[in-house]
Amino acid sequence: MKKVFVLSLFFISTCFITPQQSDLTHLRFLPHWIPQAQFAGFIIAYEKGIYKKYGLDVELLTGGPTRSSLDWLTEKKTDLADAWLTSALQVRDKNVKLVNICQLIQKSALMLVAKKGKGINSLSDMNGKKVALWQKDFQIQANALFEKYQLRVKPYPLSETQDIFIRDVVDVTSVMLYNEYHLLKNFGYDDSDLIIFRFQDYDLNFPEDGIYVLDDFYKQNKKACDDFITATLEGWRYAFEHENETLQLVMKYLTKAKYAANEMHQRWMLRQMNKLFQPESGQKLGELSEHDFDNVVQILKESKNIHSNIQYKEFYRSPNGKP
Amino acid sequence: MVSLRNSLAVKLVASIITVSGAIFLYIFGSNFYRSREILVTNARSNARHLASATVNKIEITLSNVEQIPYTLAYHLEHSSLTENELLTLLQNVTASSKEVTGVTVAFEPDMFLGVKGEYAPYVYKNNGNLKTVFLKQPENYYRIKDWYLIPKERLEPMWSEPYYNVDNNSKILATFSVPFYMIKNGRRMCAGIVSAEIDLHWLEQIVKNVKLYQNGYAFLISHDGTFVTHPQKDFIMNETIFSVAERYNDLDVRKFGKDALKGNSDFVFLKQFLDKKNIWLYYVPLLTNDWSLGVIIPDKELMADLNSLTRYILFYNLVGAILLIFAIAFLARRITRPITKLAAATDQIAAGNFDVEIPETKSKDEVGHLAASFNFMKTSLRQYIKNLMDTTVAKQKMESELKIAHEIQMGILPKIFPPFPDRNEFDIFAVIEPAKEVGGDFYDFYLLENSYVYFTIGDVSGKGVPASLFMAVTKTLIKASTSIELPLNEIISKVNNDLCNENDSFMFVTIFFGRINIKTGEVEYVNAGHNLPYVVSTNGQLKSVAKTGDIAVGIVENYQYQLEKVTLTDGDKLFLFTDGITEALNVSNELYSDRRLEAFLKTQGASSVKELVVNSVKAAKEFSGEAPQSDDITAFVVKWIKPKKEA
Repeated sequence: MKKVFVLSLFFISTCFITPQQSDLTHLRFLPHWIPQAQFAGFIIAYEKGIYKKYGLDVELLTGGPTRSSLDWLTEKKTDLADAWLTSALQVRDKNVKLVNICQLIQKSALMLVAKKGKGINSLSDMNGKKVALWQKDFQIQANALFEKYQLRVKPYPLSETQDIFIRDVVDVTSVMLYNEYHLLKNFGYDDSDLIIFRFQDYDLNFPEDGIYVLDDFYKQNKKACDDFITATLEGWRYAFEHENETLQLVMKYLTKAKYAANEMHQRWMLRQMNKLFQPESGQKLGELSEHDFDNVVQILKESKNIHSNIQYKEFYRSPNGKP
Repeated sequence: MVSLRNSLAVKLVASIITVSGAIFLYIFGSNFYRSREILVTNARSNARHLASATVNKIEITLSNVEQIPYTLAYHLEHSSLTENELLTLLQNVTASSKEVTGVTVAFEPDMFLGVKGEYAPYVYKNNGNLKTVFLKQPENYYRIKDWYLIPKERLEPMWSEPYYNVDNNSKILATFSVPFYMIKNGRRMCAGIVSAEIDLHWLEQIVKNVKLYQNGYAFLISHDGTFVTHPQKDFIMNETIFSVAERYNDLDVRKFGKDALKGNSDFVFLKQFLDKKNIWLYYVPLLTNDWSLGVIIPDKELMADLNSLTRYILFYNLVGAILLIFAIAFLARRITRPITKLAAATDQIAAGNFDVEIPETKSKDEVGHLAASFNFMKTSLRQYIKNLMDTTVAKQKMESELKIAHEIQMGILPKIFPPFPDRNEFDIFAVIEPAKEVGGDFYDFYLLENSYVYFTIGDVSGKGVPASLFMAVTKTLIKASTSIELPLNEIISKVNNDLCNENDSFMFVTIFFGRINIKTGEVEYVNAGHNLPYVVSTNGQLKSVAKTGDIAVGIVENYQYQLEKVTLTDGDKLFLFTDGITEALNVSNELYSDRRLEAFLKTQGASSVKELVVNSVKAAKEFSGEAPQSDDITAFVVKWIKPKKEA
């Protein structure tokens, strides 16, 4: 009797066991920057086994300044990539059929910052001033802004640090709300020492981090891609709700990748991501806003960064399959 | 027995311990804070010396490194070097310096000889060998790097922020960059940057060697607050002083960080530094590169000696206080023991036991004096009380005799009214109120042969027993001398002679003596110096009787008294009185006086004899009010009623 019970128990348990390694769909994902709290949801989904729960064997590739995620996607060195909407649109413009399957950052985190008491109190005061800008896509909003308000500024290249701003070579610098803005605070600047200009306040809200995949790949692996998005969003929700656990993992990744990091900064970043992810009312988490999309396309066309007419319906594949 | 709380010993201990405790605490407290100040001042000075020495050590090395780009810049500005010469120079310089790990000369585009565009040779040490590379676009686009861009824009030398070696993250490097100038198209312009790179591991060693007390340590923060060295390894390059302040939510640390980055130096106390201990922090800037060195001294270690001394002092003071309590308690017992015995003896004396023994005290101090005084007081009290008792007995006896005398005096005065209830022709009423127990006033009346009523009112000089005796004698003499045939003035003259005889005490008496013919209402009278009576008619009219001008009885022997007459009409009341009425004094020392009496009598026309007597005495007394009665008061009234014709 006892033997029968044990045997049946074994039999039942084998029926409910999670899919074997070989049953999992292998997916490669490359974030567009170093492993920090900006990508906490991916790390959590991976570390907490959420991807596996959805039958995915995800390989988290390590991003960084030397790896362009969209280049890797184009070259099929990764299946999925994280990238800014503007970057993706420019790649798409070059006839690479990539599609957005999830828009994470809804609100542009990029902003311009000046020190108070140095003559810049409003946007128009930037006229004739030295403004530090990162290269490429990081300049699009700023240039559109200067164009829109007819400001003639002296652009300066911004490297990895904010030293040219701290040492007063430039009057205005570019920062990401979740990253460099807090670094400035970590360098002793108080909120009251700085004056900030957010692009969204000038109708230049560019959605940033989104998840991209080549359309062909998406068509062939629709379920896996949709599961990846579901799992990733679940990872993000978990990350926002379990700050300390998430930060421990993020710090582990940063240390492993040998990047200077401190927990307070990552905590700030994680909290800002939570705010930046929040969509407009009537819109779901991870959904690309058509209004923002059209706005970005128009500005990119006006600034001649793209030339073709890219349609929202062709570019965005919502996770549930409906465009 | 007094309660413990009220005992002298407890009070003494409490007050002395309180006062001496307060004095001790004040001295101890001020000494503690002064010592603390001295310790802090010394610590500040130690920290300053140590920090200065460390900063000097660092700055010497940094200055040595600075010399290389300065020298190279000088060469580039003053001599035209070929590419080979330049590379050789860079290799030589790099090789010759112990600290420098690499040297770069980076030109602005088209500024080096025939080279088109950017040119930037970088010579660096690699495992003991020198390597030369050329920084090129795009991977090494040097013109946007901080070490190049910032000094070029600011046209001044600069120490970079520390950074990790690109190839090997374990090395922390810093670069010193100097702009150099060339003349092109007749214009002196910045031609590029010379920079020298150093590995900062030696810094860690120097700063690590800073030791103050057991666990004091030093750390170095860069121009933007990043930790360059710190005993906690994970702080280095990861944390800034501000991120640490944020993590521990410590605004004081943030404040210190801001002040340090401004290039200031100070010695500050930070509470719960990084959530752990109270510390003292001395910070001083490195003038070469605007970094800041901080030296930390744990407050507990700084104060260790003082704290142990404090505990030692507190312990011995506690012991001292306990000894003091015992000493005071002993002394207080010595003082209070005889006092307690004295108190017990005094209780006995208070209870009336004068035979109690006052305890002997040999001591000649205040307590000894007190005991002696108590003994004397006891003896005196005993004597005094004995005297008092004797006096009291005598007084009681006298008072009893006086009382008897009063009763006798009153006894000899007729007191039954109406005295002749079957007689309708007259009515009599009298009252006497002595001022003392025994007075000198008297009155008398008697009916002779059913036709005459004799009446007397008198006032003996003086009061008390002698006066009453004299009064009794006078009254008796008058009554005894009365005979219907004898004229009244002769009766009085006879009485006068009798009284003058052997009147050794020189007493005298005023007398109004009269008789009324009850048929006719005619009144004969003699007045020997007494107040003249009033006749009160039924209609309220008042008249005095005629004066006789005679003197009081008992003064002049053989004096001849005069007889006078007055006739009453039907219902007239003859009101006789002593000077106790008219001379009654009120509290303002005013006399009741004849005037007030007359006014009163005018209202009494319809009164009965009793009412008139009682009311007149009452009026005089009311006038006196609270003032004591100074003299005997006597009022006497005779009313004549015309007899009806017999049928």
